Amino acid sequence: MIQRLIATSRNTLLAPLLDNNPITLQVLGLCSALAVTSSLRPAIFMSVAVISVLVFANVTVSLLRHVIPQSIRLIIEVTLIASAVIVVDEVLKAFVPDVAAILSVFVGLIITNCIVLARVESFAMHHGVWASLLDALGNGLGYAWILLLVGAIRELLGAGSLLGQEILPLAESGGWFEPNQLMLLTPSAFFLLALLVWTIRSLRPVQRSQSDQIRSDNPPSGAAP
Amino acid sequence: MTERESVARTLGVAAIVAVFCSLMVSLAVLWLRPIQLAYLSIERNRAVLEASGLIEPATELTEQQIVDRFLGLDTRIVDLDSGTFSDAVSTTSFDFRAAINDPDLTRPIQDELDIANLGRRPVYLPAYLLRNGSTIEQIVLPIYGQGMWATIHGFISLRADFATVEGVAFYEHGETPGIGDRFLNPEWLAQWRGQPAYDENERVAFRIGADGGRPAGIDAITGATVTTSAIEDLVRYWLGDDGFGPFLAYMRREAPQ
Repeated sequence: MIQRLIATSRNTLLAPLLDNNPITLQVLGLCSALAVTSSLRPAIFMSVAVISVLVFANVTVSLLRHVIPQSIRLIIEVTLIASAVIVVDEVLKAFVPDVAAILSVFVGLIITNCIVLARVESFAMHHGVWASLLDALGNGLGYAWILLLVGAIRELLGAGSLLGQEILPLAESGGWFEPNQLMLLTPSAFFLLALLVWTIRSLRPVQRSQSDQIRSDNPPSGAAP
Repeated sequence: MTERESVARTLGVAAIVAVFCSLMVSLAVLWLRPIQLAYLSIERNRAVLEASGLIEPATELTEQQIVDRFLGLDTRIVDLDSGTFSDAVSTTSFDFRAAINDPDLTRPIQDELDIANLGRRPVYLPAYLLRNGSTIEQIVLPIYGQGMWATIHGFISLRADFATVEGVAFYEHGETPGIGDRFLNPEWLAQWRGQPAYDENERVAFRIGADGGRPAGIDAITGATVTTSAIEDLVRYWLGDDGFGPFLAYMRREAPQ
């Protein structure tokens, strides 16, 4: 019994890291993943911000899940998420104003980040507080490691540094490394994410067939907007 | 319809969540606002120094270094109505950002003069003098005006002739990220250096963008038209007769030490 509980908990926490990753499998939250990964530092703070909001939203919604009337379910969820995002934004502006300036609107846009609403609506509304907390942490970390990896690769190849510390000696100051300016622009994040998705789905064919399944089950109707 | 879905219950839950969320946000802002304001005042001091070229835009400085350099400037108060220096308010305690919104310290601007969409303007504003011994090398003046979404705040520095721009720096704005906010690009701001503020007839000569055969002094920014013309308007307002114009004319005549 207890072993099963532990196994379920572990699965709730660990599955979103790779097997059900919100970015690479569900392809959610891409907007911020593209925008804030030009270097590692903003990616770290964005990850912390999203994890904080996810944990707060999942736990509060789970606590209120028997109280919230179905008719105003979504607006309650969004109100809780939006309040958490405002608090996180104010904290960033007070304590790391330089990072807040880089993240600009993308902290506010966590409100519309599909990952948060998806977890709240599909998980926290139907599960207990402990499971919801683990689910929030798991999905937050699943989002975070992709962001940090992309952020690290982009800063390393685009500026030869990590967290502002020079790692690869730059050619302009006598070293050998010629930074790739493309890495600092948004398209490079798109390429890196695509390569990541490709790699993961090659190693885990389950994910590949699942996405193909979804595609054949829901043939595109009409012209895409 | 279950009890959970009743109208009273729905309204009750909505009200409780609303009160809880607004309390949470209010308390957070109450706690954090003083910390944010302290940072903003440092940023404002930094912008004064950047406008005068005393520090380069990307230089990393500690708060103490910024404050020390800022205190090296001679802060004076300008009475915009009389166009002269004033001792009516103390330079140390006068907070011009608070004065901007204080009905007692502002007066309405006539509609036809209000090209920067300010509505009211303060009577007193600070001027920061960069001195070398007894001679004034530059004067840094606060400027602000309505941008695309919010008020744009900055400082403009004029040379000792009080008619040529030395530099500019902006420290607060709400322009669209990635589009309107490209006016913060250091290369664009560098074009301001040496631009004429007034022509030989003492009329405001500051322009952004080419127009009707007139050569471009400072390039307009493609895609940020509203922002660039708002900046042109606010600079022209503050250099004009209703802004610092009379004061700068007085300085050109007298240049008191």
